[in-house]
Amino acid sequence: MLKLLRDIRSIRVLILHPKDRECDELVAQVRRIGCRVEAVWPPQNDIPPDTDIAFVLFRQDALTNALLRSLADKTASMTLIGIIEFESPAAIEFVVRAGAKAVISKPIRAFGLLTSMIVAHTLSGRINVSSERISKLESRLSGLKKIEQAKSILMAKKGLSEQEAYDAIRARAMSKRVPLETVSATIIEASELFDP
Amino acid sequence: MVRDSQRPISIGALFSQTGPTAYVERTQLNATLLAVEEVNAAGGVGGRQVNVLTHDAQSDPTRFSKIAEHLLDEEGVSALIGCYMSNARQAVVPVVERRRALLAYTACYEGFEYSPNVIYGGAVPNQHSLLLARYLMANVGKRFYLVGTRYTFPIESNRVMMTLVTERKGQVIAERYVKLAAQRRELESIVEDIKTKRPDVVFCTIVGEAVGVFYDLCRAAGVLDRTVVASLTITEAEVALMPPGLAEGHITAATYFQSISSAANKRFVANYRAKFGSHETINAMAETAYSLTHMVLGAAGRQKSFDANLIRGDLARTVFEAPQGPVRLDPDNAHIYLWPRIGRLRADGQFTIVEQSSHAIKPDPYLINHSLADWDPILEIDMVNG
Repeated sequence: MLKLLRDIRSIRVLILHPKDRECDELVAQVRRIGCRVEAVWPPQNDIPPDTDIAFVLFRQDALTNALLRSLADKTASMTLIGIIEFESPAAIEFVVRAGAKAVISKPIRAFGLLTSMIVAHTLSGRINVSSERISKLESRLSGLKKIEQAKSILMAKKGLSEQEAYDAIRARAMSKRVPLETVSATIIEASELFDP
Repeated sequence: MVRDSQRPISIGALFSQTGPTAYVERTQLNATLLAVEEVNAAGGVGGRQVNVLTHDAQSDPTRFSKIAEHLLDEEGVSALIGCYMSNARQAVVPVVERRRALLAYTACYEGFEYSPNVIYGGAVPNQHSLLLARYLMANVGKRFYLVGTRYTFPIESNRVMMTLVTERKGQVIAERYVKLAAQRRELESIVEDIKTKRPDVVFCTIVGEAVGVFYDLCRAAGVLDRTVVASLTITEAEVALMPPGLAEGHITAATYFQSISSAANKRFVANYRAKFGSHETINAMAETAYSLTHMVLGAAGRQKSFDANLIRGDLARTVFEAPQGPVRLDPDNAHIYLWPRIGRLRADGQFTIVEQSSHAIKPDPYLINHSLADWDPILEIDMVNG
C-alpha cells in the first residue's frame, strides 16, 4: 500500500480560510480522515513548522499575496492545496505560480478531499526528491568540471599524462582526506593566482 | 377538508423487487414497512400517518437514481430510505445532495464516504472485518483465499482483510473476482483453484444469487471438508436461498443475527413473522432497515422536520433500542455505533453467536490502516449460547 495512505493519520493539516460553515465542513472532513488539523484565520505570521499540508483560500487580494509569500519562504516541504472561488485565467495563474499541487473548489464538499490530499502530497514529495537529486547532480557535475580543469592545468604545467594528472589529484585528496573536487579547486585557484 | 397537520406524509423506499440482489432487498423493504406500521400504530410522525412509496429498482444503479428523483420531485416524499449495494447508494447521493434531501442508507459498506445528506445505518470495516480477521486467525488458520464480486465493497474488504492477515504473519494465497451475475463456469474454475491450493479460510464477498451456486460447487468439490468459508455478507437471507444444511459451519461477521436473544429482538422477529409469514427469516440488512426507519421517523417526529442536520443532531442525542442492542449516531461522521458479532451457521439456517463485542463500537469510516492491535484491548469474548 502507498506509504502515505498508511501514514495519513500522522499528517498535520493547516487550513487558512475564514471561519464559516464551509471551513467547519472542511475541518470536520479532515478530522474524519484522521489527520491533526488546525484552522487559522486571519493568517498568522508563524506557520507551525511541522505542517505537512496547507489548504489556502485563494483570493486576489493583498492578504493572500502576503500569506503566500510567507508560506513560500518558510516551508519548502509543505504541500499547498488551493481552495478556489474563481476560474478566471488570472486566478488560475495565481494558483499555479503559488505552487499549489491540487485545488478544491467552493462550495467545499467532503467527497474527493482525501484523494486530493493524497495525490497532492505524493506529488509534492516526488518533486522534493527530484529537486534534491537535481541539486546533488548539479554539484557532482560542477565537481567533475573542476577535476577536468585541474587535470589540464597539471598536464600543461608539469607535462603529466591525463592518467598521471588524475592520480596526482587523487593521491593528494586521499592524504588530506578531502574530496577530489576540493583538491581540484585549490589547484585551479593557485593557477589563477600565479598565472592570471 | 383535511388539515395539513393531519395529512399523511410519505417516505420513499429504494429497494429491488427483481434482480440479483432482490432476495435481500425484499427483506429490507419488509423491515421498513414493519417499522412504519409500528410508528403509525404509536401515533405516526408528529401525529401524521406515514405512507411508504416504492418502485422496483431492479438491482440497477441508474434506476435507483431515477426512482429517487421521481420520488422526491413527483411524489413529494419527505425522505428516502434504502439501497443495498454501494453503487446504488453512490447513484442516489448526488440526487439527495442537489435537493438537500435525506437518504437513510440501510446496508454495511466499505466506508470512505460522508455526505451531509446521508445517514449511514450499516457497519463499516472497523465494525466487522476486524473482529472476523481476529476470530479466524485465532480459531481456524492463517492461509486465506479471497473471492468476491468485482465492485467497491469486496475489493476494499479484501484490502482490509489482507492487511490484517499480513499483520499476524498469515498468508493470502489468491484474490479472485467475478461479475455480479456470475456464470457457473467462472465459479467452477475458482472452486477448482481453491481445491488445489487448500486454504484454511475462504473469505467470500460474492454478493447476489451467485453465492448459492458458489457454495454448492464448494460442497460438491469437497472443499468444505478442510476449509472454512467466512463472510461479511452471507446472512440468513443468502442461506435461505440454499438447500438446508449446505453451508453449515459457515462463519459470518455481522452486527445482527436473527438468533439474538434480547427482548427487543424477540419482539422484532415475532412482529416480522406475524406480518410476512411464520417461516420468514431476518438478516442484518433487514435489521438495519428496520432500526434506521424507526430512528429517522422518531427524530423527524421530535424535530418536526426531515432536515438532515436536525435529524443527525437528534439521533446523536437519542439512544434507540435496536434488535442488535442500544445504538446511537456518531455526529462526527453520521454513521452508527454498532454491535459486532461472529456467527457460526447451524444446519437449520440460523447462526449460533460465538463471539460478540462487549459494547457498541464507534464507527471509523475513514480508517485506512486497520490493525488487530486496535481491537484486542476492547473486546470481551462472550461465549453466548456456549
